[in-house]
Amino acid sequence: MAKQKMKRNIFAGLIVLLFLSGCWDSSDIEDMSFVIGFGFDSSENEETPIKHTTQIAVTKKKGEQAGAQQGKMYQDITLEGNSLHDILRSISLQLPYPVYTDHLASIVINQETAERYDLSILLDQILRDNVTRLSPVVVLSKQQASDVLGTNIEGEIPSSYIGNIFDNETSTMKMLPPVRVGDIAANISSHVSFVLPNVTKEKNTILVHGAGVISGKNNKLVGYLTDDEVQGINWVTGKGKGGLLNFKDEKDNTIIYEVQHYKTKVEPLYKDGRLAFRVKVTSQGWISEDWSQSSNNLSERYVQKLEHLAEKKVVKLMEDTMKKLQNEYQSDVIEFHDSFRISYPRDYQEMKKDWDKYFADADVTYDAKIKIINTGDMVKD
Amino acid sequence: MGNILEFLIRTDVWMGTIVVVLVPVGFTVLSNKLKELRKKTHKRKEQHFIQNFTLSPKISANVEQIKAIVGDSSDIIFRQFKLGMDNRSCSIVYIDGLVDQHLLQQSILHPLLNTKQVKSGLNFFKTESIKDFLMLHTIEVSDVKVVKETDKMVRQLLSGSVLLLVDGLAEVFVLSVKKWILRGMEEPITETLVRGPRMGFIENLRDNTAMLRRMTTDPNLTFTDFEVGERTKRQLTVTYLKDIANEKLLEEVKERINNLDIDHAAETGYIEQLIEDDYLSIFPQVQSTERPDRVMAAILEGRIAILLDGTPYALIVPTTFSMMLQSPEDYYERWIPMSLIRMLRYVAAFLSVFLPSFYIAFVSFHQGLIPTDLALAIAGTRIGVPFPTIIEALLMEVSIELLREAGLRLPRPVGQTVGLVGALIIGEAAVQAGLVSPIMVIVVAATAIASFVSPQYGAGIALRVLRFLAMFSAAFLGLYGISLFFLAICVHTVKLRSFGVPYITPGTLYSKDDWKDFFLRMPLFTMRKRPTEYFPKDQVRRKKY
Repeated sequence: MAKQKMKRNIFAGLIVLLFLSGCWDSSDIEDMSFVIGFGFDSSENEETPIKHTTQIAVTKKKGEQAGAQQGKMYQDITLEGNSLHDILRSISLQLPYPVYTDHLASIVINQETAERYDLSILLDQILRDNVTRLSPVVVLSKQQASDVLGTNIEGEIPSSYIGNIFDNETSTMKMLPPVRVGDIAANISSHVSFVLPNVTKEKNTILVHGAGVISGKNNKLVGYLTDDEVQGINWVTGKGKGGLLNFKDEKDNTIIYEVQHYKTKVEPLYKDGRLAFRVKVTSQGWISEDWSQSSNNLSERYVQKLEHLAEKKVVKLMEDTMKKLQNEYQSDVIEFHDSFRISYPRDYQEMKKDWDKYFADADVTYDAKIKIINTGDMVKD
Repeated sequence: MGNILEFLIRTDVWMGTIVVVLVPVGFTVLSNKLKELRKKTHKRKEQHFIQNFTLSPKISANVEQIKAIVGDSSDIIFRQFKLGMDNRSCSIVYIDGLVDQHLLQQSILHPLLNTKQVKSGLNFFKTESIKDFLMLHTIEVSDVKVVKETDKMVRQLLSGSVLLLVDGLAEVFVLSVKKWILRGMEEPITETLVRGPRMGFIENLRDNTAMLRRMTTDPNLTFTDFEVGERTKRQLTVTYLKDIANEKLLEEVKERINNLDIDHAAETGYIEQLIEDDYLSIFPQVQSTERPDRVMAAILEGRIAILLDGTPYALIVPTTFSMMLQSPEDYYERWIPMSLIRMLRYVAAFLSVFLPSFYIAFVSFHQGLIPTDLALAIAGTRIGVPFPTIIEALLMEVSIELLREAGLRLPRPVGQTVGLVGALIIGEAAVQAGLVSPIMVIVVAATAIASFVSPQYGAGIALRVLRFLAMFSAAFLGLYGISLFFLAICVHTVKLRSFGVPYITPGTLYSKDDWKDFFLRMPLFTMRKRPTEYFPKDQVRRKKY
């Protein structure tokens, strides 16, 4: 009986200990500064090489909701320093509430900065921090990141605007799938080259335009890709979610093929020290626009002709892109290493270190199969 | 050393120590005291509230004795008269208001006063034969008992029977011509159904048993009577189907009722609290209902019902948690919608306990788990609110509870006004004044609505209490606290038993067949067996299909 009483006392004591912790980690939602975006620029000052912009959402005050449209929805704080964490803490000197990075939506890195600094160093704090998530999208910017984040878009916070643009990847092939902090962490740690989407500030808006190639060797920006090359990358990787293919017939009439569904298969072949890849693309889609005024011509032959033209265009897109990647940048950003690793795991272990070199020398052949399953609602004469 | 001394003279250290020591010790002492109180056996002698006396053949002596016992109450009527046939003095005693005057006149007084000697071999002047004569020829009442024990006789008198004393007989006739004012049968307002019988129990036990009897002609339907209340001696009936109800369960119920120790049981609530397994638990372990159809369904499953005279609420044991979220209507309507509605009730029960605590946890601990836009919106509405979330939530929840209690007790028209005023104050004014944020109002309103879904009032109260505990645990440790609290509830309910049946059966994966009637209400033809959780003697409900 006494033993039981003892046990009970100990148990009750433990319960009380729980309460002693108080409201651990509690802080009210209105007492924090929600960081929505980060911007990285480089500064001329050697003492403080990083110019860092923090974008903080302005929480609307009650009663001002109607008029909030006119006011800015965000506050940008640009500080220079030699360490990201140091800069973040310096922000606390001018804000009423501590910064809270859990809602970070996007990170904008100026192209020049990315050329100059190793990404693993720039993003080191973000990758180490256990509050910041791995979900913010990372983009390059042509202009200063602080300018891009300062774009005046009606009723929008620029950094969450950037994050939202990537929801449109289903409707265009000219946009790369979003690259998130987590992807970058994985790529950096395995020394793999990758592409980052690029954004540009236009007067009152931000648009996604082209991409930058980050080399796996030094994690620096080594080159740029145009919109067409981005399309090529999407066709080769098969990671796009759909979009349009714009091609011309022999009379130079524009024809638009809408990709409903496409699939890419990469078959590596490694023989006698020669590396070869075979890229097979199959796609199904609709003809959504045809400037050749042959709208009545729904004959099978005509459709087959269009299919053939589209296939040629796809192959050309891929070839152009690959030429640039292999010859100019020598960076495998299209994950050929993955399919090679699966087929030749042992060989890959040896070639891993100089993979980009092997990749540059590889022969790539292309094979596109496009099927037009629908030419749209057309009335035959 | 100096540091230690400095530490020791700090007041907050001492306060903390006192709290850490006093609170658990207090809890232990309190719970031990309660346990002892519960277990304490009475040392006092059995009480006799009615003096026994021996009946004498002399009628005047008997009448005097009865007068001495029942006192000079104005509602007790003594009427003396002479038998019609041999002028023997008689006396009837009854309580005015508990007796059917018309029947008394017609079936008792009139025949007694007017009997003439009929052709029979009986000799009236012998006392033995007058008893038989009265029994067989004169009294026109069906329920007649001849009683010698005076305490029983007085009890009968006080419960509405008519006593007939005859000179020369050392026995008393107890004639039952009871009639008193009763409420008519109504639809039970606490358990209304859209579809189903509009019957509800009333305050008279006999009518209630009759209602049950009307539902079946099964001879196995058994009513076993007990008397509870040492002083008031109320009639209590245990109802079961004797070929279905498990014997051990029945024995346990009977034993617990026999061990009841109370002077007066005004409502089955007393019985419930005295026979339940764990008085410290927040969950009701006995189901109470006003619906005869519910009782019938329960005893057909092998459970046992307890009816008490003077209250329309019947008790059903054993009870599981899922019972609290079931309604007889689940079986009256088709199975697909009712399965969905039953799941909705589980969701509602969960929300009514955890919604405010989730709000607290998200807003003051896990802001990262709210979508960005919503987080900004909540932050915007909370700007200028002077309290932390927990105080805000408590403020609103307490005022909702106040409103609910106020509306419950007030006369109906006034109650509605209170509801309206309260809704205005809570919904509009509190937000306008900046005391609470509008989202908090939504949370509290949704919680209140969810708690109204509970088909059993008792279960609803339990969940209301749990809600406050959940809010505190959320305020202390966020989602972690909520999970700890949920775990604590789970541990408790797994351990809790109602008359031997684990409280969350069949949630403990006890029987696969019982799952057919748990979250879902499967079609009737699939439920071919009675729930095994009550160990019915007759397992099979339907043979075919």
